[in-house]
Amino acid sequence: MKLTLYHHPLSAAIRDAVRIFSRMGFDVASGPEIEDEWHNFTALNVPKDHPARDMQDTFWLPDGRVLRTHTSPVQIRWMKTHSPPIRIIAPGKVFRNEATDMTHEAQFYQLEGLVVSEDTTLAHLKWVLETFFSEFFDSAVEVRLRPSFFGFTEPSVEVDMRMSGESAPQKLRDRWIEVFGAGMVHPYVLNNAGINSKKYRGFAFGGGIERLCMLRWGIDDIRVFHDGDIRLTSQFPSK
Amino acid sequence: MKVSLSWLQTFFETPLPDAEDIKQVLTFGAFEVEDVEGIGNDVVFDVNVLPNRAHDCLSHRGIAKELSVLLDIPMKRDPLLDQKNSCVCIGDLSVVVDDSNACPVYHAARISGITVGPSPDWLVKRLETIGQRSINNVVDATNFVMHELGQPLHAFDTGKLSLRDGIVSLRVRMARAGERIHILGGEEIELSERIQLITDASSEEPLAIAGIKGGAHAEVDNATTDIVLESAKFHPSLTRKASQILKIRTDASQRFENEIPDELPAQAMQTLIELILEVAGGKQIAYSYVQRQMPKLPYIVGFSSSEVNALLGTQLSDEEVARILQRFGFEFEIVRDPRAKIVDCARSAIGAQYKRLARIRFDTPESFNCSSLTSWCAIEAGYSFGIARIAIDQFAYLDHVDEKDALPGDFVFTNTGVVQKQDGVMYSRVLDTIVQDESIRTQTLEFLPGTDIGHGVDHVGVYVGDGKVIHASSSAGEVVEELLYESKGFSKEKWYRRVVHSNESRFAVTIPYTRLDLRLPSDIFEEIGRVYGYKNIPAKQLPPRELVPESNEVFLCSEIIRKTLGNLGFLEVYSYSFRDVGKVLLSNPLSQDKAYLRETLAGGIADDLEKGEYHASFLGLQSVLLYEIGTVFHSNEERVHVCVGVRSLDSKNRDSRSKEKLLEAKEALERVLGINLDVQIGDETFEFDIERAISGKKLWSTDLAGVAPGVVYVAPSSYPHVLRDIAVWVADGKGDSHTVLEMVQKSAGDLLVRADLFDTFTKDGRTSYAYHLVFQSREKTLTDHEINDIMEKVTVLLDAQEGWQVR
Repeated sequence: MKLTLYHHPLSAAIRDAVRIFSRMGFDVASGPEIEDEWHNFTALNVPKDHPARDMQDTFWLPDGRVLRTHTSPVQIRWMKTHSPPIRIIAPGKVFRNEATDMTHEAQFYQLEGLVVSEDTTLAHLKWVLETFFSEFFDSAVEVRLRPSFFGFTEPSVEVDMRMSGESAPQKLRDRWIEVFGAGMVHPYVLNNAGINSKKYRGFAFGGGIERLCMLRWGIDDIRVFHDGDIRLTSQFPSK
Repeated sequence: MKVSLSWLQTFFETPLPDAEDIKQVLTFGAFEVEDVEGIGNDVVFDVNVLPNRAHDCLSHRGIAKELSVLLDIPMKRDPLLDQKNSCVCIGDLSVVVDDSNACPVYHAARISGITVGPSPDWLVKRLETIGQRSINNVVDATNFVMHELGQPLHAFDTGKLSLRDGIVSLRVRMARAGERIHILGGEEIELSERIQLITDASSEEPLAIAGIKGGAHAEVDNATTDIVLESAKFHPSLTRKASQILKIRTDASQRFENEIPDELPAQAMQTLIELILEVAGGKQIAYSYVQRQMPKLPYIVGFSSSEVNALLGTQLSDEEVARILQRFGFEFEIVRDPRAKIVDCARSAIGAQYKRLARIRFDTPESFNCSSLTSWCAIEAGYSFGIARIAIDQFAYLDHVDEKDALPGDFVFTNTGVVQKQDGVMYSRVLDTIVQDESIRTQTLEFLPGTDIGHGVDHVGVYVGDGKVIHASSSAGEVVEELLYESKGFSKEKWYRRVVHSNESRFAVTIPYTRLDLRLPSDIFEEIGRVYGYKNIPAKQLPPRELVPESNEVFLCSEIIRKTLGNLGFLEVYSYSFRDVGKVLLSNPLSQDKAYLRETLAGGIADDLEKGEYHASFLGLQSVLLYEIGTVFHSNEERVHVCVGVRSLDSKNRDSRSKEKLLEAKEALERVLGINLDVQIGDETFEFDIERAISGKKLWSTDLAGVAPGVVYVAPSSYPHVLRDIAVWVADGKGDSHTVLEMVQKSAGDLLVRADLFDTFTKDGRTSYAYHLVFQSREKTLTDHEINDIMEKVTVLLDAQEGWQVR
């Protein structure tokens, strides 16, 4: 008798994201969870003593290294070792020194993406996001961009999405939901990663994978993802 | 930040749209509006000003300016740009600043003969609407101007200062260890050498914690008749650190932390003085200021509309770009012939002094060095070099052109071979670090730092045609025009680079002092994008990519493991990386029992097996089968491990069954991956390092599917479950396991969350069906009593069926 295979929702979400982005020609990149300050902040144009560093509460190691607060350092590492054109996603565990509650965890998974070439534009970013969300949520999805600020992008935007149609979960249908941050890669960041900012331009985007799972499957407490409880996985049978 | 609609309206002749429209316009054009509240007959917005705009938009003037741009309506007054205040030191007032880095700008004005009292109604209303308390007319005026213009301000009671020969003298210095100050509100604060103070120079008494909070000593009260006003700028990091050390955060410190423009204090002081005279009377009798050298030239950013479109994916014409720049009120030039402009600028600089460390904004047009001259010519023509400042960086940044093809407006580079005596260091904003000053570099400094330019470059000039160059010559001591073959500076090998590639017009935009965030072309492109409206940019498909994606071995292996173990009934778990033991310690853990990074996965898996055993009956499982794939941390490296855990719930053969299953898992992994796993099988777990296990193996993508469609997660109850068993004899033909199950479920009700058939046997013409039952409430812990009641009800209903008998 063939047993049913069950998926941990994070693994399933990452698998879906990899599949969707692979079809768009993206590599899957990974990097260390302990990072040095340069890769996690400085290279990403988040200088020392700047309020922008307050946006992320950081776990520090005694030797000055940090637990990475985002998977953006992976993008720097990839750019330093690969020439454009570049298309990568970097799913991975990140850490924030924050009190835990239903929507906040000290460790969670981020999905970041990066595209760099001679003719990448904000218009392409919109398309990539629309395509990803509509396939991931298997629904008609609109995307809208609002001005924001991140040290590593300029322009920077918040990404909202809205699902519509029968296949969209009832609770979310026709509502604008904030999902990702994104923007055009800042020239200093390209420069720090050894890429000629005069010749190349690119965009980056990112957000929490747990959040995507919570939206897709109606999970309401972020803490269930990492507490090692088999009652989570047992609810997600394979196709 | 709280912003009042009627206060914003005072900046406009045209009536502003209604609150909801303003909320939309700001949210989609500038900053998210988090809250809109009606207060009296006014409306207050809670605007989430972005960190990079805190320097100009933590004020009503700043938000009004944003609305002016986004709604395309002119402001009827702009206290920061309408006119530039010229400041003159008059009267007896002395200001001494110890460190111009810590306090770049300090303005003081003395107003005599004032009457301190309640503020006029309009002023009280302005402040109270945005949640500020009215104190007295003087304090309220400083608070008002801060919220109007974004400049924190302060007033000292002159009567409480120690005058020396009738002269008020202030000194801005760092505190000494052990020094103390009573701040407004009464608390006494102990200071340290990292805290900057405003002090009474004569008595050395601390009067205020610079940029953070005023002192009680010179507090303005109802008896005050003479005041000294402060409008200043304090170093952002210094103020931020001091605020963190003292754990005091104020509206003032928030603004200084984010840096304000050097020019703001002078402008705001004027507004403050006028307001004080209006509400408290009196006469200005003295003014003094100290400020560091300010740039003579504004910042200029250069770009073309095709560069705007290349970033945003738009198709804006020069006219459309110009229109948007006009909405901002930016001064700009459209340079139609950039080559000619470069040559003209270079020409206009002939005779200017050579200055080794010339900076464009401070020294132009009186003095130049070689690279500041070429940069300046380029920027005037609408070309921002951004990161590339010194000669060798410009060389690397610009495109090669052969000498025979050189045109006027190209740059010519050389290595003079003359090593000038260099000393000292400079700060690179691009690299955010101090760099060594060197004469003949063979590597770029800031543009793609470390790029090797073997032959070295140390000089650059503007080629102006007919074999001539204009350059800032150190040997001549000035900017000269010479024939290249006669020029001492260009006697060695030369290389040409092109600045102007096409005939398109360039924009050279002058950045107002109010905007510290606009420095690179991409900063301007963001302004253009958000005003044009991101919703107006249609999505554009990425072209298909020909390259074969690089494979990620660890990811591939993980997926193979998931499929193999999943098919054997194993469930994946993710657990915390933080534990109470390990080799890697955190400096600031969440809690003491989470102070280390895990060295193995086995510890977490053991906990999860324990939890899993408890939930197994709820899930109807015979054994707990789980695994985790995750990072572990050794003292000098991190590795990705897999840990498999089994706990059999077979009470008689627990250990042997668990071991059996672990072995089964190990063998399945070895078979599928084609490897030998060198692992110890423990009592309940085994763990291995992925990369070591698959070293050298070529892996293939699995066809592992996704989650079935239509799955909706149901959060398990947080209350404990209760287990019961029930068995029923059913006479032949009077029912089967399905009908029994149905009846059990119907009679037990919603609290029965699970029923599993676990035993069936037939004897003497009837069949016994036995079920494990799991009861659980979503609202509370169920008592034995309640369950007993339900079981009784079930028993009665089952017994009532013909041919059925509960055992």
